[in-house]
Amino acid sequence: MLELYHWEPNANSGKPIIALKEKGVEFVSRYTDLLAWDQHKPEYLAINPNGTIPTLVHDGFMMAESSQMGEYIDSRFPGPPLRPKNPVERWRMRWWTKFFDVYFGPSLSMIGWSIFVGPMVRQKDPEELRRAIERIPLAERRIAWTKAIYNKFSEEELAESQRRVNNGIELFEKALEERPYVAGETYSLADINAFCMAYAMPVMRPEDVNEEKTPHIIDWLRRVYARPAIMESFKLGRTPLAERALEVMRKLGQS
Amino acid sequence: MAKLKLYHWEPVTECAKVMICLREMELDFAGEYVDILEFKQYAKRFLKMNPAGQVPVLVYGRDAISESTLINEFLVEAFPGKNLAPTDPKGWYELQAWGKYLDYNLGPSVATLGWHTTMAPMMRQRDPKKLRKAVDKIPIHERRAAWSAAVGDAYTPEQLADSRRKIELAVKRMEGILADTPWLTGEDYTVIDINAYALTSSLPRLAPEIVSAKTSPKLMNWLDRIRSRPAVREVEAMRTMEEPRDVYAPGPEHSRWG
Repeated sequence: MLELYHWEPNANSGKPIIALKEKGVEFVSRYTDLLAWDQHKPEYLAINPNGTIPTLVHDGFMMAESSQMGEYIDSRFPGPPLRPKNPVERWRMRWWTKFFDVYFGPSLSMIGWSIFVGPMVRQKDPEELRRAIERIPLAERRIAWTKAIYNKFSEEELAESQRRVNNGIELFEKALEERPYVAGETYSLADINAFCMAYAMPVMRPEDVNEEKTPHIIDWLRRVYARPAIMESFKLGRTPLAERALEVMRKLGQS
Repeated sequence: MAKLKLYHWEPVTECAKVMICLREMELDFAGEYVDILEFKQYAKRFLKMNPAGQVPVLVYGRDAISESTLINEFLVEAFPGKNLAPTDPKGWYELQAWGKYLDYNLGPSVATLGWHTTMAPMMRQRDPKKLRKAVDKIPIHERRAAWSAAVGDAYTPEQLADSRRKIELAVKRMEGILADTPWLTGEDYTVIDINAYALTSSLPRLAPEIVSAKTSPKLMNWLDRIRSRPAVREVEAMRTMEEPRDVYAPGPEHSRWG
């Protein structure tokens, strides 16, 4: 049996959802509500002791690393390949995946939490919030959640995150100027990972990502949005986050 | 086969990972030493090859391959048949998950603690004005910040304690696994043992309260077994700096989320 515990089809949860849809692999979807802290409940920790989302379980084999589970999905199941054959392109796929995972993604999510998710979460009962944080098993995650929930990011941290997101957009635009897809000539896991982080850019940061400033990113977004697996993936969303994708598509003239 | 050329610093941490992997695979390579303490990794010629301004870089034909863990994944896939990595999907996932774990937890922590302990005192003997000028000239924002903290030894007690904590966690995890199997991912020596060795080989001296025959006997035994391998000896003999005994680079960044 193949079960995927996931939240909304974006960021880390989006990666395995899209990969599975691209391959046409059937899986059991277990929606896990990140903002209700489903991932820190005992029944979830029994599956993934780190309390992170997503988790992929295949015949008892548990995987908690969202980027690496994409390679597992690609090599283990039939369907169109999602990794280039050429070893250099495959290295480039992993280089960009790491770039989005450690440089671009954390900066973007820090900004997102500060202006968007944090205020939403703080409307909950303070006592419930406190208990939710206490249940988080990894010290790193406990610190990160405390910062996110109570908006404890310093001015400097937020400014640095803004700088990194802008720098990331610039580097990404340059890369897509050189080749049609992130790793090279073909669509790969790196495009999926990049898309999960960047799909809402034209509406979230219209001043930075638009036809004039970043024509290659816009063109790439159009091509990725046009893939049937992307629409299939967004159907698994339950919050307004997925609606942002439709807004982007309207803006790009695709719906 | 395209010729291989490796740009590297001393055979420690990230550079050691790739140098050992190349020798274990019996792949011949031309080496070029990049003196990172003289900031040669920010020279125009080097940045053209790797805009991130970091060693090691493996040049393969016309391509410059960077990021030590990704270089080793590249090597085992581009030159198959050397049995340094599992090829089944499950084994490959475990190998990649380990690689990420080591890079996130051990890499930055060993660098911070190592630099603070052995490199910072050495750098204090250099002309501070000249050093500051060289750091200010680093063209990459993130690396300039990292070097600025390093040459000023500006690590806070919290950062040092956090590095120690992460090293301790990783060592405990490794000790637990090595109690059951000879190598980190099972019965076979793989690139994960190489990567982990490159980051832990100096710990018995850097953090003896965490790594010793008393606190982590299995890990000490595993270190000895790797150290005695011909490929590892060969790489360790490529050392050029004599002092201090253990050298470190400022290393990769810690997670910015805490």
